Amino acid sequence: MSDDRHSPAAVAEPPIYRADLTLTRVNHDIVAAIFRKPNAWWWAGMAVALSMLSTGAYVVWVQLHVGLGILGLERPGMWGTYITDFVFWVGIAHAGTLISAILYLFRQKWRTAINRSAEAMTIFAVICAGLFPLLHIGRTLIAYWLIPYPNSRHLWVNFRSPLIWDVFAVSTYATTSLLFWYMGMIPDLATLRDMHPKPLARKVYGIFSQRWKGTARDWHHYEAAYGLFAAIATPLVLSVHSVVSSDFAVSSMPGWHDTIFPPYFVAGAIFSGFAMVITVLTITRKAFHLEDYITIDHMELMAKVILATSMMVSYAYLVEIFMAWYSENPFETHVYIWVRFFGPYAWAGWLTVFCNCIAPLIFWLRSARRNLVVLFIVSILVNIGMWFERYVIIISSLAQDYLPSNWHYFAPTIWDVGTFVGSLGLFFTLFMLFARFVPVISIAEVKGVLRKQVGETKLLEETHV
Amino acid sequence: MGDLRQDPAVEKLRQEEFRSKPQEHFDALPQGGLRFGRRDFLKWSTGALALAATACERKPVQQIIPYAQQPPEITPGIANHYASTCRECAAACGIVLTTWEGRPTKVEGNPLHPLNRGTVCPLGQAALLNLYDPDRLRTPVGLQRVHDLAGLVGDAPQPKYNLHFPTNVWKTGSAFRNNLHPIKRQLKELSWAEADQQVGGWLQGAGARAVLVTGTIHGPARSALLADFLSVYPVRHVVYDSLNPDALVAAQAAAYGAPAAGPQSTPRYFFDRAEMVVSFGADPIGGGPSRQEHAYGFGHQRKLRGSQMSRVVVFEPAISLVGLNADSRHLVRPSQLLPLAMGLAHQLVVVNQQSRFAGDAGVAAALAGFEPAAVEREADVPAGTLGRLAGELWAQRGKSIVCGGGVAGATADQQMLELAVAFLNSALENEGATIEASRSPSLQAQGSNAAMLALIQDMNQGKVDTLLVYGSNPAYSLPDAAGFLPALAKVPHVVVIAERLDETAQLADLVLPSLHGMESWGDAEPQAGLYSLVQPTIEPLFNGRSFEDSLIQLAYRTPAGVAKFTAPPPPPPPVPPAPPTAPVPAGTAVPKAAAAAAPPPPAAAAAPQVAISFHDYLRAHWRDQIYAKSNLAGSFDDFWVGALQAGVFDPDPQRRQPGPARTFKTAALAAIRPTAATPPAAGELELSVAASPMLGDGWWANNAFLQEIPDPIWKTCWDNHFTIAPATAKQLGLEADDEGRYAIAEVTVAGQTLQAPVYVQVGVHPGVASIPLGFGRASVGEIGTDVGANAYDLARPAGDGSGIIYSGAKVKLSPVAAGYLIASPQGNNYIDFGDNQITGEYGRGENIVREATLVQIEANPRAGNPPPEAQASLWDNGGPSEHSYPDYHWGMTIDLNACIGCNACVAACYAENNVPVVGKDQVWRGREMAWIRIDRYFSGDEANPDVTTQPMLCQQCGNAGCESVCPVIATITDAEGINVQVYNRCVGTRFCSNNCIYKVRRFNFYHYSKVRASPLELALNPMVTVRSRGVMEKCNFCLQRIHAGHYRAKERGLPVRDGDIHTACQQTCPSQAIYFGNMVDKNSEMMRARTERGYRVLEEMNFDSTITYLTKVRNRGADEEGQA
Repeated sequence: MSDDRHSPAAVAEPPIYRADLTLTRVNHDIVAAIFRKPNAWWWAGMAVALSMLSTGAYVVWVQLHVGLGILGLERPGMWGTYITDFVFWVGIAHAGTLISAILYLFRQKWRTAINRSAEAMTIFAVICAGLFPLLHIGRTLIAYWLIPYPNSRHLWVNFRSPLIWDVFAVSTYATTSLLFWYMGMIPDLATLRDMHPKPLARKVYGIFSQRWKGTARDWHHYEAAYGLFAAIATPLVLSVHSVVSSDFAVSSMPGWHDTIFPPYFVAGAIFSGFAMVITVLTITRKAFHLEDYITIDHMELMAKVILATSMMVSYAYLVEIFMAWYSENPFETHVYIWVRFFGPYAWAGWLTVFCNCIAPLIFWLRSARRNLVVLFIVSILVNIGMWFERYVIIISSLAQDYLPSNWHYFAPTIWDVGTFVGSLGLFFTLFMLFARFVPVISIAEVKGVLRKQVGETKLLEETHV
Repeated sequence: MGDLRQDPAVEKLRQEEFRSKPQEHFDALPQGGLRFGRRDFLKWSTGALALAATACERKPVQQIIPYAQQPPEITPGIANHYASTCRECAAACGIVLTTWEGRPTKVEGNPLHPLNRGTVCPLGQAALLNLYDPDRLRTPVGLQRVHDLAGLVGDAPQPKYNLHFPTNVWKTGSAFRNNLHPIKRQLKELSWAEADQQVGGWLQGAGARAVLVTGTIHGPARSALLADFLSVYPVRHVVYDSLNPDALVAAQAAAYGAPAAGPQSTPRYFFDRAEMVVSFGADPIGGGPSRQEHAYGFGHQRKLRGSQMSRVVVFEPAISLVGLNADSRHLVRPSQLLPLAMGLAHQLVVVNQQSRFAGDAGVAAALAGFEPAAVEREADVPAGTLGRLAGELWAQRGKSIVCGGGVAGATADQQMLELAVAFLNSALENEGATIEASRSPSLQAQGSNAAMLALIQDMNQGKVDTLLVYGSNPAYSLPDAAGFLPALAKVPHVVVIAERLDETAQLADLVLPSLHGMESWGDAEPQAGLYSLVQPTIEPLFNGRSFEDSLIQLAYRTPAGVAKFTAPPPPPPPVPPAPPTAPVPAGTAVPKAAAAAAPPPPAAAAAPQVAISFHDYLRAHWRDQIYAKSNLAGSFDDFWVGALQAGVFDPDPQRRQPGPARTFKTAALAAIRPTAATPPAAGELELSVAASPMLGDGWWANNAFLQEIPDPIWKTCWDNHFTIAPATAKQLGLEADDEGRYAIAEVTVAGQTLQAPVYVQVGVHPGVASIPLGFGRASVGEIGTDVGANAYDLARPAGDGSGIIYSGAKVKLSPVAAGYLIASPQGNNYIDFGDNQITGEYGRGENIVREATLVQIEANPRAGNPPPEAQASLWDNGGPSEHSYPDYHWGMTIDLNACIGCNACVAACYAENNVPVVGKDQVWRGREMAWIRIDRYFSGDEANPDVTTQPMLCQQCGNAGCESVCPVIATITDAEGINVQVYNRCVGTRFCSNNCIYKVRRFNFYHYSKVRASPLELALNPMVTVRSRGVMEKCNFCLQRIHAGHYRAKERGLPVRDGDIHTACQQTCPSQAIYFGNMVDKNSEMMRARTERGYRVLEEMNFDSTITYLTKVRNRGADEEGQA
């Protein structure tokens, strides 16, 4: 697919896929999971995911009927776990597009193994993220008032509010990511159309593959569009979380009002996004026997990204604390240092530091980077840590702000937990369905890399395609 | 382009009006092409009609009932105001009631009334909830009498403590609901005729063995009616309130001889003349017989006048409302109050040789046992305190008030304490200058514990056959040790006239519902020579009858009564008074209310004559007795209308000024013996009881406003608790756990045990456990039943039956449970001390509360208030914000010095703005809805802190943080600078609250406004939107009042004048600490109040708030010089 003859890295890089892979084997390995009947593991996973989803659905149903009061929200903690969840999921949603778009533009061939599933995660995470602001607002039924549309009441939105920027940023990101994902899937859907044993499935895949014939003309258009999308998506990766961070940075609260937030949030998002990719792929490659495609080298590369972003996040923490101390602003000192590390939220503060700053340090060891158990555990820790990072930012800043008479300790209720569990359920349900019906690895792109790696002539000779 | 080229096709199109031509389409069809015939059309039409009929609902029919006979004074949509008298307590403040189409919605003070001068206390502000209380008794009922009351004594109802709240307690628990107490099942509803017949029979049968127990009743016509009733039936009359001034009355009699104005009069205190107030345990502004009058005078003296303000020194076991405002507070055990008072007298008379008693050997002998130094050492008060205090008091002689006693001081020595205080006042020449008891004493507290205890003895001896109780609840407020319940079991017939099935009513044979003060006629004479009228503003909501009418009806059953209370043969048509004309429009609901107040004639009165109504009686009495006191030229009708309109008649204000000083009989002092009080043993605390500033003596316990608005000092609500100092808690192991949960402890006094939570807070003497009265009602209604613990159970009668002892008992707090949650809107644990938040290295405090001492202020008016740093402006106009206000820009000035923290403004805001009550669970979760709150900050010494109260409401910022972050522009600054909240537009993102640095915005997490039980919705102010679930709300400077002010001004054709518009909080503030006005008008009172002391909270944030606070000034007096 891409031309990387001029890339010096390509010369030095070790081969990405096993040397004995052939194009036919790629086809068979990757689509086999789709043609097979789902095994018990899949059903068990689906059952867990669906029960989590229905838990969340029940919570949402109750909440919409009774009110937000069932959550732990209070004054001053008017934003609670829902916004935490929102930022968490938006953060997760970063890895996919980063891998697809930015790594594509940088010609990182190893991305081909993981980009499909990472993009799917992006879509699903954005769906989860999008739910939370809707549920979070007091009057969900009129959430559409946040969209600037012409109406007979001559009402308009407030473009000064970061929440409006959020509406645009997240919806643009969701749209672009979805199109990007779908477009990248078209050649693979065509493969499925061609190979699927069932006529109905062939029909459905046929519709979605949009009469892809694999001609040079198709490929030409495809490559151009893919590159274009990658270029469009790349700034979005940076903008979405920058805008989300503005929800806080634009306000006047100590602990929120912070110029470092946009880059810090983006780094954190990539950090958590890659952690989630590791978490999910560790399971997926095992479940669908894709060890040949998602190799330990891939995992190691992702661990390196995690290590790098972890250091960025740690740096941001230190800068925050330093600035609070250096400014001698009593409110900032109070929130950044006292509340988060010695006061009522010290437990969350130190948990964040451990998960995000200390645990990933193990990736300095090559053996840890290549150990699936360590990878999995650290990725889970990073996920937890990043959730609590947002929790600390949102909750602790509100809990003890300017007037001491307002201070109140925020504690989530079981309903808060229920909604988050529901969003996890939604995410995993969608991912299970995705893994069941769509190639989790981009066949076309793997083939493209294989061609470069093995040599086109040899490949053709062997496979007689 | 086609148009340009004059294309014929375009030309053709232009000619045609309709481009689509269905007719042509059909015409073009071949013959038979149109298969849709006429009959088919009809068929389909019929079908469509049938479908439409099934799918649609009939439009709901709404019937608007017009005023077919519209009362002349009522215009729908325009409020009427009626002057009346508050009947919530016996203080009888003047009020003006706002009514909309015949329903009162707001209580305000009557500016013409000399007692409260336009202000109302929180209890009065919350009175509407008592009127519309769904738990009121609705009809006369007979009860299955529980005669085995003795069995009830042992297991007095204990409060139920649920350690863990269910998530939705607001739905099932303490919020408004319309269920009566379960005892209702035993009730038998009666008609008034049946009830009257029964009571009349009992009264006649009992003869002189009948007893009428009432609370304090004053007012010329009401007193006369009572006298008439007592002459018809030879009934013994006992006056009993929950808290009675026995000790004061006895001490005054001992000191000055029998009072000229009758045995049940008490002295009046002129706090508005006092430059110095010294209290020994008393809380004249947080409770007592006339708290609002006192608060008005006290608060105004606290304002800085030039470089003068009053000085307040308080000795008390735990902070009270007056202690909250003290310049110097000394925390002492209750038993030390008497020695300290005597020590002060010793210092003054013996050591300093001042006052007319100096050199009096008898006095010197009586004071000999109270050496100041010894007393100070014993009470652990800094040496020299009494010396300095005596010097200051002498300098302010004739301009000071020493008060003592109260509930906290109601120890075994209470009478001696009152005597010592009286002596101090006489020695300081306050008697006759700031204290008046000779010509116009207070009649506001006439009850007597001694009389009640004597009655109980008689009941036990079987001397009482019929007991009639009204306005009094001895079954609740008497301690078990007084033995009321077993005695009641020995009374054959018990009748209770009450608004609700309270504890006493539950034990009666018959309960007659009385009316709320806003439904009934009446009058009041709170202080001898000051008369005011009570007029109804709504027809009785239920089948009740006023107490006075009940007396008339009962009396009418005897020949003597018929002679007294017969209406003239042709009943005189009630004279409709002229429509209101006075500035305080008043009193025209006469015909309707009078007709309602007169019940149907009783069955026995088959004679053509009927009994008069109390309205007739009242009018006749005023015509015969009161009219004569006026020197008006007009007829009685003119006088009557005028009195109704003014609400108050003060024939001789001069006569009510302090009269000649009474002479103190020094011999009485000899009775004061140094009590051999042993200090508490290890682990023992002295009990100090207080009257709750919010719930008073507990009469109002079913009032949700008063339950929810936090206690001014402890900032807790929906509960009472033992309060102990942190050091004590540490010592006893009763500290809160990590989650802020408290222990429940049991206390035993004289065999009576009480369980209550233990709250840990500074401001209590380490050897004291303090608990307020007024909670733990066993039967009052859905709101107040079983809320808190009944601290009356810890009281005990004095050995000689002279009164009831509340405080001073030595108690042990033995923990019985842990993990109890106390709801506190201000946070349970966050207290701010000198070196931490308020001042000092943390630096936080000076941005919030600024304070200075009087000496510093004298030297530099800006003391403690450095000018703000100049802020750069983003805007071309050079001002701090982009807005400009040419005509009106509303702002507020709040004098922290004058704020006494009484919560009246909070209650007024609840009533005015339809602020919902949310219940304990929601408050605990930090979701209370108050638009204005009183922030209480502690500073200084942790053992005995200084307190600052700061009313905090929306600061109506010019650069409001809430506005820029709202995505849907639901909050905006209006043309007059008010930051308004558009409820309909709000989608509830709550970003505004997060970005509010004052956190004054409130969110409707549930549909709080929907949990109001009928008829409480009648109390809603129709001018204010009731907010629904999911929207944000907050203070908007009473926008509805501002608009009303604009309308009034427009009618006059003039701009709004300064003082035309009052916000609800400002209107009711007893000390007028809140000024509201137009910032454009630099001469407005509000702007003039912004002196050098003015500062804005968190000004450095550049939110450009429109509320200026004035530095708190502490008048340390000699204490400061002593330290310097």
